[in-house]
Amino acid sequence: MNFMKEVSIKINGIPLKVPEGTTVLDAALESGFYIPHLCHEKGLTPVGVCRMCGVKIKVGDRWLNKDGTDKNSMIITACTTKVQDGMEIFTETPDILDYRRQIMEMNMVHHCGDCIAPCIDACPAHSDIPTYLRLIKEGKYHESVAVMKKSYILPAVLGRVCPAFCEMKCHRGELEGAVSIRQAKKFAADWDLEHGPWMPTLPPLRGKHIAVIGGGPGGLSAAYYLRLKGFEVTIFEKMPKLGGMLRYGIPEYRLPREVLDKDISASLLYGIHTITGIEVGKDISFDDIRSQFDGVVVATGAWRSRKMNVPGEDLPYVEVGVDFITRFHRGEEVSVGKKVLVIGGGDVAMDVARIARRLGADVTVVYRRSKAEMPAHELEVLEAEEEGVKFQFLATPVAFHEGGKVEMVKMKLGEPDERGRRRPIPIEGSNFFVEADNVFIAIGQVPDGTLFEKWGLPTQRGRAVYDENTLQTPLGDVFIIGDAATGPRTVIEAIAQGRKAADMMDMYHKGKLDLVKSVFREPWKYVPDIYADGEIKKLIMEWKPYNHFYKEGEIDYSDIKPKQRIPHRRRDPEERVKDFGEIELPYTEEEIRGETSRCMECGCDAADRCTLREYATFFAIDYNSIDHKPRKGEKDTSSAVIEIDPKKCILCEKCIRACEEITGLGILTLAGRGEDTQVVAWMGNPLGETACVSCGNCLQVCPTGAIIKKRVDEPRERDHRTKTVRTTCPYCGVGCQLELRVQPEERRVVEVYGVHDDKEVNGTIGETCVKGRFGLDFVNSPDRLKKPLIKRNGKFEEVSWYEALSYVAGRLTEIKEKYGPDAIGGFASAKCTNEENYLFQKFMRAVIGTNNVDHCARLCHASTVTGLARAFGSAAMTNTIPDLALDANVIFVIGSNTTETHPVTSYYIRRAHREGATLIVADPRKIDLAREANIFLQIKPGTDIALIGAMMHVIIREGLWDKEFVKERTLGFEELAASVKDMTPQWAEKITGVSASLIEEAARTYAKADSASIVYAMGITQHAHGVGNVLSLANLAMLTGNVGKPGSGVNPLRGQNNVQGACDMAALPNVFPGYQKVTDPEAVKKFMEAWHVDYLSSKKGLTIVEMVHGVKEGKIKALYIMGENPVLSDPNTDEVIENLKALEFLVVQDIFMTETAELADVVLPAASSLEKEGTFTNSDRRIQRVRKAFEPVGSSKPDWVIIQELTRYMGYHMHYSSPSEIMEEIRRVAPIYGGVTYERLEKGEILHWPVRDLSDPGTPILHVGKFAHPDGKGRFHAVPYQGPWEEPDEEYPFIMTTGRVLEHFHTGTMTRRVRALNDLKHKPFVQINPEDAKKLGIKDGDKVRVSSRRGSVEVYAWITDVVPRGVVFMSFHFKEAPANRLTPDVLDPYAKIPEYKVSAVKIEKI
Amino acid sequence: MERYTEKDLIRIREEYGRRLEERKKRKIEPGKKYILTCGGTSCLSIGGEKSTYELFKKVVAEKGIEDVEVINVGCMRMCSEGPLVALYPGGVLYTRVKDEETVRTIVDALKEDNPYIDEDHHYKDPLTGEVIHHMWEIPFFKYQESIILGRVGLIDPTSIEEYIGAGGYFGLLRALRMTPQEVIEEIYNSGLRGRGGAGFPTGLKWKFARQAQGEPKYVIANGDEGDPGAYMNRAEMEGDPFALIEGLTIAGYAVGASKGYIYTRAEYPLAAELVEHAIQVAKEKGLLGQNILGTDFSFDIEVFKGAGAFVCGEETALIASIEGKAGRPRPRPPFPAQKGLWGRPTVINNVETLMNVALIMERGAEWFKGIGTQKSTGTKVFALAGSLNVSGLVEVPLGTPIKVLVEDIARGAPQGHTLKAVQMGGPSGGCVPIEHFDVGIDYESLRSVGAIMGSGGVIALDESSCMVDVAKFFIEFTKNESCGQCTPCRDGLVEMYDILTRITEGKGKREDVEKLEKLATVVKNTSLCGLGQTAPGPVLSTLTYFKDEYMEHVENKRCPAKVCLPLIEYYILPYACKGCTICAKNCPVNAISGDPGKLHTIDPEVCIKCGTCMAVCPFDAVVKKDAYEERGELYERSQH
Repeated sequence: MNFMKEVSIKINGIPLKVPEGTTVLDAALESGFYIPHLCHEKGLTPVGVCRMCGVKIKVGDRWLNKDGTDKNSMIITACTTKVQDGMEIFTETPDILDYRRQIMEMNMVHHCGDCIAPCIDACPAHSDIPTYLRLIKEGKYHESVAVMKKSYILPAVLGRVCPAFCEMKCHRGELEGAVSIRQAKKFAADWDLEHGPWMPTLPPLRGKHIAVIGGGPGGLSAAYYLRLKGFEVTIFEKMPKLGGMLRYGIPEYRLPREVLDKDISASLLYGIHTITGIEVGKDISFDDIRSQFDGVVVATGAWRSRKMNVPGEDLPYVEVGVDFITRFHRGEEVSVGKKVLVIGGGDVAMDVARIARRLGADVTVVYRRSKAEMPAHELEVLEAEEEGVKFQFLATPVAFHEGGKVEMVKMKLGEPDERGRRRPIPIEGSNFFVEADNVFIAIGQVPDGTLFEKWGLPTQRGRAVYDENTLQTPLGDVFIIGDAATGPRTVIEAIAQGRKAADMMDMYHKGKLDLVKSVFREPWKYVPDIYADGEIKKLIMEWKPYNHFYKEGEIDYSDIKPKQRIPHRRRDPEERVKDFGEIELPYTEEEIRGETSRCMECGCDAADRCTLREYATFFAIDYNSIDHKPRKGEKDTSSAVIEIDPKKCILCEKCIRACEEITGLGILTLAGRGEDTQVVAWMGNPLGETACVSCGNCLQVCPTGAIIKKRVDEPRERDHRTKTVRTTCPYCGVGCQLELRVQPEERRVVEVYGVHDDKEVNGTIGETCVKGRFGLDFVNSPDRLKKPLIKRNGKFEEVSWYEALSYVAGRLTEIKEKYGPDAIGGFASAKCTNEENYLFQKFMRAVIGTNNVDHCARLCHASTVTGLARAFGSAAMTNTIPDLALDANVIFVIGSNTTETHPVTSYYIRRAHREGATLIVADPRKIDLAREANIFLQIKPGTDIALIGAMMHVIIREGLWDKEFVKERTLGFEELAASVKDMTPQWAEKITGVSASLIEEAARTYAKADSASIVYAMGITQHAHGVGNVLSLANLAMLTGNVGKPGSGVNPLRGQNNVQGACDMAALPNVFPGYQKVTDPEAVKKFMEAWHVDYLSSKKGLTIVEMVHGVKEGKIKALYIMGENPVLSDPNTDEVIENLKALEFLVVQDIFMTETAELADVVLPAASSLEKEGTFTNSDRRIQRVRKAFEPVGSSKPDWVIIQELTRYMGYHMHYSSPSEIMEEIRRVAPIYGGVTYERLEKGEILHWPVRDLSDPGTPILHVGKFAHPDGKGRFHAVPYQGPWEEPDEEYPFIMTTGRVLEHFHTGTMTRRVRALNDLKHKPFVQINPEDAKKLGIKDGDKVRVSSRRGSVEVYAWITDVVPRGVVFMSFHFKEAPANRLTPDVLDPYAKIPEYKVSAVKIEKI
Repeated sequence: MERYTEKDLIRIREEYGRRLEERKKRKIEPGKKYILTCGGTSCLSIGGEKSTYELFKKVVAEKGIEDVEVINVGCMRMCSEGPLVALYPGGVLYTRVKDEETVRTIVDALKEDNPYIDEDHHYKDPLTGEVIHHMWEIPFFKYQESIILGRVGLIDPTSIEEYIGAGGYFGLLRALRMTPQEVIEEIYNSGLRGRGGAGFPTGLKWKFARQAQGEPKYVIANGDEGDPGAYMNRAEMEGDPFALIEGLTIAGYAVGASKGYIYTRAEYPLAAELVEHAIQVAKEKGLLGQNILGTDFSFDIEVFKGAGAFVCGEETALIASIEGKAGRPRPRPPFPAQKGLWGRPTVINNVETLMNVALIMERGAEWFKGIGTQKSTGTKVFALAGSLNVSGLVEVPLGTPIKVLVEDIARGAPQGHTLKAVQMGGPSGGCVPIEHFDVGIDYESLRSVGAIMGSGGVIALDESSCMVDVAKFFIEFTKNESCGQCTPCRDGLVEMYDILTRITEGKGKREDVEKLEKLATVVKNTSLCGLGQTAPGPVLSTLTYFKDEYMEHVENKRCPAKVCLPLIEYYILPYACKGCTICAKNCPVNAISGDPGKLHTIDPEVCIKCGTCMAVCPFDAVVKKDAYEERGELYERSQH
């Protein structure tokens, strides 16, 4: 595996050494040379179809690109080309860049849909409108304001004065009218101000101080966002108060000053200083500011009015409109005459006119074009009209004469000008005269260029010179924003620029602004730089992203329920002209929340992670120059968890390869030719109707939004509201590493990605199965226990932790005193962390004083623990999960339905098989792996010993055993040989039902392999002779020398996430942590010292089933059950319930009110594994971190906290501040964990125990060189044949075997509460062979009763040839039909594991 | 089952060789007559319900003639004149033998010394008007050199004896006496290059496969002939299947393969049937299967019928297709010679390449090198079509000028037409304008003028062809046949097609032509496989030689060839119209009005430009004219 041979190559002239055998693309990416790629994914076979990674390569003098350097050279795809010594690779030549842009353009032609909602794009500040509308809909106003303030400040102001560009682009506008976004914002913002405004968490100040000149909306915004970047800010404002044009321009009837004041004060964060009434250039020089501050943002607005340049403009009755308004708002005495003329057609003209109206004048607005061309907002004009303002269109003053005589001329409209507005042309000789007391000129404002010149800011034609992308002026440290830069625009534009300036100032101080400038100008030349710097990437995606939108008519609105937009409600015009009170009337909360429900939440779930959108941005694809043509095919929503939208597919085939190469299925394929090519599910069927296992590996690799997680009643969460947490999957023992994208406040798991760890295994993408990917929502189930409960008079009552714990402590002490410590038993949990299990057993042993502690490993792998310890001296998987598959020549899977129980392990097995390994499967059922196997041994349930014995018989008979290994490394061969002497294949054929020749073939294949691994699970262990089964497998492996080397071993697949860890931590009745026997006085002594106690029991405790049985016998009086559900998981359910009911005291500590918890006296609410820190030890002994994604729900607490607190009530003081401290103790007392620390795990070290000390790298493969027995030798054991305990008879003619299904886990406590998983499988079932079903007259889906001697359940028939005749199969996930009501509680004499796998049952149709 | 030994081969060669010699005599002689009927697919498809072979058999039997032997042979090449029948000795060629009456006439004429019949059933030279009876005197055959097609049309393709009589299996015999390396050396020395179009040296390809690691190895004959109008491989497989089998067997021996595939298409049922028959016979005779000719060498061949996707002619797609996957290419390297079928070293040769192999092994590399040019040795078969007087299959030495093909052999364009270009190399080939007609047809020369050899399709274009329309036609073909995997081919070709459509509709702009050229370059240089890399050929070569036609379309909204319908109108010349009403009666949409005896006019708003009026007008009064003749009108209309 480890070919460390290196070759020398050059990339873009830089010499590098890279490992031989890697591709040019991987070599480049790993060396930091980014090459764009869409179809490449590490772990998948390169196919080179997207053509984006094309490069030019020279070896010696020879170009590999046919024609070489000229512009016709053909590209070579880096992903499909292996590195070669002496290669010179060129990744960024102009022709290559050009090709990439062209290819991107081709992709964008067919990639259609809304990237983000059009409202977001239309908003100059790009605020996440759908999200805040959704929060408003949910009544979360503070939260909605928090979203707004990510992008802009002053939401209450904007809720009144914003022209709402967003609404103009709203898709809802295609139906009944746009969503009233502005009104909704106003409502939420007002609510927020009223209830104490939401304030952001501030980063520490970083010691840089920025001056902002101008306290208008732009300046305030710059200050706010600068502060959020850690800058200290001082605002210099010329006017007496902050607000700029908001205060001195916008009339109060549009924006009450009270709202303005509140909104401004909510944006003045700690660390922002304001100095008002100071004029830069007069009171303080601009240069002084520059020298005293680390940067300047100029936000001085545009206050200078344009001149008309007509005679008489200086006459006293003629005044500039803005000046009039400013004077008015400063509170100066203003008065107007009877007749007022306002010249101009913009918003300021309207403001002047309407103020004058309110001052009692007869107002006429004179505008030189017609109404249609008026630049003022439509609503403003309408309102002015309503208020009685008159309009004179197509006229303009040509002279102002003394005495209020205004000479005007009529106009007509000519050719359109460059902005598309028709030019007004005076009509000669049409002059006329109008009388006026006041004339206000409001024909537009400009920034004060003279001011800039005075300051030394470079100007051009009176305007400041600046870079449009970065807002930087040539002075470098000075940025200019808002109206001062652009001339008069809207408030939102100024605010947006303020935020942008803060971003850019940040870049400037990080020394990256020059690069940013180049990147914004010609991004395609800097793609590697963009990918090298996440900040720059974020910046361009924020300010200049490529976005595609559905055009009108492209969206199917048939699912949208019609709902009218709320009417715009304003005060009566006659009333409102009488004062300056706000015109717009408030809406009710109900109205606003109803209105926001009209939002259709446009956009794509993948917008924040879409590689295609990134490339389209970085290659500067011009959306408008493309003639978009959606690809054929309709959206496939048939799956419960996955959605496929062919219109977004770019045919990179990654999903196809993930499905085939990772999951091993090949459900997705490419169909069609030419432009009709598309990705389809098997045979073009809807995905939900195929054999898809819903693992979602396809959507993990999709570079666009073509395959996404299906959302049902879940909102979309954009990246800015989520965080990622890496943790270990809480389901099976494979221990997949997951990266969760979560919304912490709303406790939502948004997406789950597998994490690729190629230090351990190459060729993976970070795969998961359906449960890991889609099954974590149980943490938010409404059923979660949130408060401690005590049962009083048969009913649970919520109590405080103090009450609950003191009650528990009291009762336990009482029972201990009355009956002795051994009357108390504890169930630890394979679902809890190592640290918690450690504390639990420590509590039972050191505080209670008993060894009565066990957990569900008893029910799944007790046989393994006993059997392998006897054979090898240590009881765990001998090899790692990837190794047992990928390094083996032969894989022998027996008693494991791997594809459903350990899906990710099955991916590796399938891959190994595909790559040439031989697969032998032994199982009573024709499971999925059996269908693919080279040799399938369909044995009768419970006859494994005969099968394995016969295989060994053949191996010995034919001399295929490993003589050297047996001689050097084992003991007891003679006994073994004697025991299998009579186990001929012919004999075994009669017992197992497998033909003798097939047994021989399997034996030879296994024995002759260079390395052969055995993989098993509960099909082996859950028998009354489970230990015999395990010993047989150990015999087989040692006989052929298949232990202690890669690709071999005996590998029990553990069921629960931490069953290995719970065993390691000694949640077992016979050992202390690290498998130190409780009967060993040395060990007892050691732990007494470690735990500071003077007594520890040295008597083996009771096992789970014994404890339950012990109740009836009077031995057990109290049970403490942590995270287990014996009512469903233990055999003979009815008896379990009786026993639990007979207890004097039962405590259950769980995350849900399980069937067991319902019987408890006290229920303690625990935090789930997504709500705490800790470690799990997976099936292959790898210790992995569990990390907290959410705070514990309600007042629940992590199990370790509960136990620690409880011990204090019982007088034993534990005081760990964190799980890592517990691990420190574990590693001191358990030698196999001797070198395990959180520090090492955080560094990414892969630790498989034994890890003896801090320098020990761990032990991926056990028993290399010697076994764990003291003498280093493995032990053979003679295993006489033993069959099932119960055989079918006339009354109970079927053999029932039990197991799991892919979508559910254990007793269904978690998975049955996940919408997606329950959608996939929601009914209890029994698998029946078609022939049996025919005989019984049962059809698929019929309801049937399955009964055994112990009880009966009602389930649905599933007719399938997976089960052979005479055998039926049930899973135990369904509490409405608990399979374990039927199973016998007969135990293996050594391991005390029950025989779940074989019961005799009968089936009746009902 | 009789397994042939070397002695048997020599015996059969002598016996059947003599008979063939006799059959091929040029002088008409009394005595035994051989009637060779063309059994090629082309002749069969133009013939009646019964094939000429069956008709002759029937008539000869009816008449009880004894010294006449009717033999069904492969393609006789001059397909435009078919169904063809030849009479030997003498080599008298009968053309257009479609009905029983003609057959009877011919059979009757056999009795005489003078077997000629009426002019209509003999070749009449379109240029001189002269009737030529004997094949070797007909210019179409006179300028050809028959190496590969030497036996095609002469021997019975189902008879292994005739094949051996014509020299067959002596190449294999010689090869088996040499080491595989020596065989590779011989082929390499002959200069034989791939006839599929790319021209890679065959010997080198074999050498790579021989050296590659991996067992077993495979050899594949690529008979997935997908170019529209090309049928060289079909004729070769139908006419001389044993030569293909022998060639593939030699290839197998040389590279160390024990299994070969012949990949052909389901649309070639006859070829597949005859090849399968030949495989069966060869196996029975010990020339295929275990221990061929008593040596240690064992080799088996399987025929694989593809479903007719054009891209399956591409090696890696072809391999995927045999493996049972969708026929989609994968990137190279690794080349099939390194990792091919089932991941093992695989040689894929075009059928025609392999047809040469047995000959080279029989006659030696030196002989082969004597034909053709220094860098392009041997001959090449072409399928001539388009605006030509005579068309069909021709075989000429490489290096023969285009002029010889279109003018000497095919006798130029029909009367009233002028050739302006030939389109060579199938849908991804290029157009060579008339000024380059003296370019010799070899790999390098063609590439230098922007065309490719391709598999050998040659389509002659005259002034009535619009080059933009021609380019559009081929791009439409390749875009539909794109496998859909890689972006530039799948999407770039569609974009090119859209632009071409715009141009032919008069909606194109100058920038469109620039964009088209740019796109063509991108598709060519960035596509994954040969299909995409060569698909822009027709666009690029027409842009090189006929840019003026493009510019006429975009700038003046004119199609000079008057092909692009949106740019033309049908118009009745006032001075020529006699008011006969025929056009109006035939117009399917009643666009023509006018009183009898008076001038008729066509309403351009109603007219669908089907051309019926022009076809039916007895006075040639209907003509095509440019729809946008005056600029003013042009502006007005483009506003709509």
